[in-house]
Amino acid sequence: MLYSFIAPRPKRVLGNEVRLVLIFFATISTVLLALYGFFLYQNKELQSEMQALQVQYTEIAEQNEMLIDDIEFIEEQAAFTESIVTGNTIIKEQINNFMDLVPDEIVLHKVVLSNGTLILEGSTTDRSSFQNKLQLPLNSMFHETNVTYSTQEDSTLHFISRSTVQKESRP
Amino acid sequence: MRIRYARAVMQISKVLAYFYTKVFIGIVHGRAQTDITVLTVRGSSISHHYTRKFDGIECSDAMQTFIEEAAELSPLFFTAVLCDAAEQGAIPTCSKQHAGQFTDVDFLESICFDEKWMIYLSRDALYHLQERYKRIGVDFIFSPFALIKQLYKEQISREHALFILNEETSVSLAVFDKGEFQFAAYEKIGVSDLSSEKQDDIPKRFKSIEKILDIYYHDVRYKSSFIEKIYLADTQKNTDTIVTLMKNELFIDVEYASIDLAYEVAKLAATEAKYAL
Repeated sequence: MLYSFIAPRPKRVLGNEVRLVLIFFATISTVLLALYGFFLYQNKELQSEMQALQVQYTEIAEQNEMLIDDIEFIEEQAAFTESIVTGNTIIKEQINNFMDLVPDEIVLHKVVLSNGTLILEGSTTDRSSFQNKLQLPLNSMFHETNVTYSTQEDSTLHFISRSTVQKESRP
Repeated sequence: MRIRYARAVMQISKVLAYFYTKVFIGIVHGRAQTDITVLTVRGSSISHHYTRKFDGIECSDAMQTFIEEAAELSPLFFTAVLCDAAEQGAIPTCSKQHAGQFTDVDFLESICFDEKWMIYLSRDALYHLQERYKRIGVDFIFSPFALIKQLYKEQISREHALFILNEETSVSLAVFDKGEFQFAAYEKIGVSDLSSEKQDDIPKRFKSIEKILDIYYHDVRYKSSFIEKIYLADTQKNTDTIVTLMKNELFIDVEYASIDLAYEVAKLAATEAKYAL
């Protein structure tokens, strides 16, 4: 309650030196606090950026894995294709070679090549010329060759040769 | 920016103030001497106090040295003076319009209480008091009625009584009826013959009190009823005589308390400075 007719003179609890020291510390504290706040803000920004990058990294890694799988599949396919092409080329050459081997005494009526099996139908003048001039190369090319003969009206010999190759397992 | 800085300094000062020792100096002067009490407060309790009497009523070098030494104890030191000017009093209104019927309201400094009554002091007297203590500087100037209010806080709120502050050079009287202010008067007690001071003084004081009571009972401007009790705060040593006189002549029960006035003024200063004791 106010009892006095006059107001008291202002009192200075803090001296000028103490004031200066306080101002100094207050300024330093303010600067430090501001820096702390700035670093906190920056840290938060970097963290959110890092999270975004992590998400991006995961997505890219997933895409990469898918690409690697695709590459592996394509490589496998390419290797397989190459093996098939090579096989076919070899077979084609072998067939060419084989056709070159067919002697004049033998007339081929039918040639069937399927699934590692070569079926030859034709006529020959005699069994020994077939066996010596065609069966020997067939034996060298195929694992197994079975030949059946039958005599025709014009005294030539009709033959059916069935040669098979053992199937290779695919890599 | 400057206002913010000033506020911050004030806040820091307030916090620091709690840890400082506060020094309150109460100054009361009588006819020929001045009492000065130095009261030190730590936290919210009085840690130390002492009173010294000085010859003379004007601010002397000795007084100034004594006060300056006390002021060196803390940057928070307050000096308080009890006003002894004749041009002061208390009236049962806070309205300047109504105050006119009790006193000349121009050139007055006043403090209103509860929006019902006020204490006042003439600006001239206030100026003279400040000039008188210019050398040492004054923080508070108190009216004797403010002191009565502080001294008899509880009794004022619950009783209908006359409260008297009996000083060496004056008598202050105030009547309260259960917290309601009714009447007050301030009377300077002059001395015609210094050699027979003590003998002449008491009847003169009693006559003054009687005269003032008569005003209270008969002046239509004041609301009055029969006073059953008197509380007497006395700074004088020969109180028994005046107490006996009151009891015998006025037929009123008197409760007497001897007080160290300068100490009470210092305490009031501590309350005023918001370091409540």
